[in-house]
Amino acid sequence: MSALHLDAVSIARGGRIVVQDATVSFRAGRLTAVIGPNGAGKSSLLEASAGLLPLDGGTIRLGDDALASLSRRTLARRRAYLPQRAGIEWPISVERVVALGLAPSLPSFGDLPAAMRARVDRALADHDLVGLRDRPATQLSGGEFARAMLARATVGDPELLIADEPTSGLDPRHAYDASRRLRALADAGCTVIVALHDLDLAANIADEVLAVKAGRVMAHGPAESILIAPILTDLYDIPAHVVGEGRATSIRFTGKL
Amino acid sequence: MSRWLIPALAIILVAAAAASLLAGTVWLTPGEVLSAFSHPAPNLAGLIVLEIRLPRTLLAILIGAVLGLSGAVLQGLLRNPLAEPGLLGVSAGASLGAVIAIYYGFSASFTLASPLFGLVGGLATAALALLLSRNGGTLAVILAGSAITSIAAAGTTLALNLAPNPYAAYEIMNWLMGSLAERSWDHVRLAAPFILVGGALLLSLGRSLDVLALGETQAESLGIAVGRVRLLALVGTALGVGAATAVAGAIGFVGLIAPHLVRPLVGYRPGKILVPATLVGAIMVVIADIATRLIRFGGPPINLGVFLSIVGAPFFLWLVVHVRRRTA
Repeated sequence: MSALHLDAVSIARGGRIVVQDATVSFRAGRLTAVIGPNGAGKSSLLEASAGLLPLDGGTIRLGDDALASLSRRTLARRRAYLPQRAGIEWPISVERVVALGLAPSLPSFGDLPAAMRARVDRALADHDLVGLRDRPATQLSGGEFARAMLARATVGDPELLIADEPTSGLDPRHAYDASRRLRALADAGCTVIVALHDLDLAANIADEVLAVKAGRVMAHGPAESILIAPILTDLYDIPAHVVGEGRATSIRFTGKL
Repeated sequence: MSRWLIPALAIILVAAAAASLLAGTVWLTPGEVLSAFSHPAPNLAGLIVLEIRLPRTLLAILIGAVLGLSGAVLQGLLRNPLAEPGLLGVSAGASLGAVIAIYYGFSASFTLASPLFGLVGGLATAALALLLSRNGGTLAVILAGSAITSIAAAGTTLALNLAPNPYAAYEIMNWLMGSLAERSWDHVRLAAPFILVGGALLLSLGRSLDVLALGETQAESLGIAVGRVRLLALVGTALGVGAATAVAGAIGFVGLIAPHLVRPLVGYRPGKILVPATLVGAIMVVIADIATRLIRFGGPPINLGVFLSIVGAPFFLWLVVHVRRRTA
């Protein structure tokens, strides 16, 4: 399993610098929550970390390999990426959708080899999707669909999983369920990077927190040392209160209306 | 079900093609057709089969196949059930090219002038669409295609408006209605290489189209070079549909309808539709071509493009209503 290192990474989008001089290491087997206000550059940072956005400066390494030196397919086999608002366009069965996660390992033609079918079965079982395997993915509820997307992302056993707001739009139970699965992946040795808006959830599942503001890394470290009132107040420009500690931390913001 | 789909469609296509050799103003028996193949003799049956109906049937298969295939690829690429080959401006460009050949009288002195001009027109518009959309995404391709379609259509109507004599106008109209009548081996030789190369490019995109069902970002993350897929789809469509339109005129609805007929039978997978949609497209055009030979309303024969529009437009209406219901 490999760590992901960003070294002085800058990203420009449409001629505007959206991430500047970010130097961060994401360690293997750790779950890092990326937090920050809207428009801070979280999504761009994640997309670039997945190797899907050209860098304006700096380098990114996955383990010992420069991300830019890996072929598309090799990179696709080693890291999985779940964008914000992932969707599906045709009523394809859940089983087939999950199997698409194996696309980088497949030959150009022909059906799924038998060995890979077993991996799909395991991913379906791991994500409570066995009963839904023949259901068109377009007919799933939000929570079921999130599970299917996560199964799609993890069926190939990636070293690195990057997920952009995987819990947005989910009710508390399903958000917790999705987080638990991400946590389990990290415990199994995968490098997991997740953008989150739900800070209580971040406190609950993350080993480390990366705070991003206005395109710059504002703070990075163990969750308990980042999710504290002064940093959060500064990060979101609104008074923050932290109650409790460890996994039971609860964060509230008070603004004058 | 899906295991038998392709063999079943292939059998239907062979049967339709065989019927296409028998049917027409002069009905032939299977025996006459077989003897025309085994002992080519310059008698009436032999000439009808080898010089008229065989090239015509082959063209119908090639054209229908590439229209169905291209429609399936474009619907998968654009993730839009209403996409069709005409969207990229290729058909309109090919039409304009052929119309120019008729307008300036080249086609009167040289039979292959309109297909050749059509081919050039189709490829030129595709190149233009590609150039205009090279830095944009899929939406840029659609917008560039529809803009070019409007320009080419404007050129075509201008030619009709300024037609030097009623015959030229009639010929242009007739060509625009799409037909396989009076097509010869020369047309097959002209169109087949482009259609086969274009078809091969389009067929190679199956796996990528499956993954594209997840959207462009996820497809990129799964190792699909979306820009390259878009380019190959456009080039394949330009070659295949450009050549098809160049020899047969505008033939609509096949590319739109063929994928829809088979989509539920392959579990809606965009890549798995390609081969069945190709076969269904070929079947549709072969049968429609037979129908245009047999259905007479006392006057001139009904044109292939017109027949397919009459059958296809109600289907399109159904599709619009159906898609709206599904997404509402």
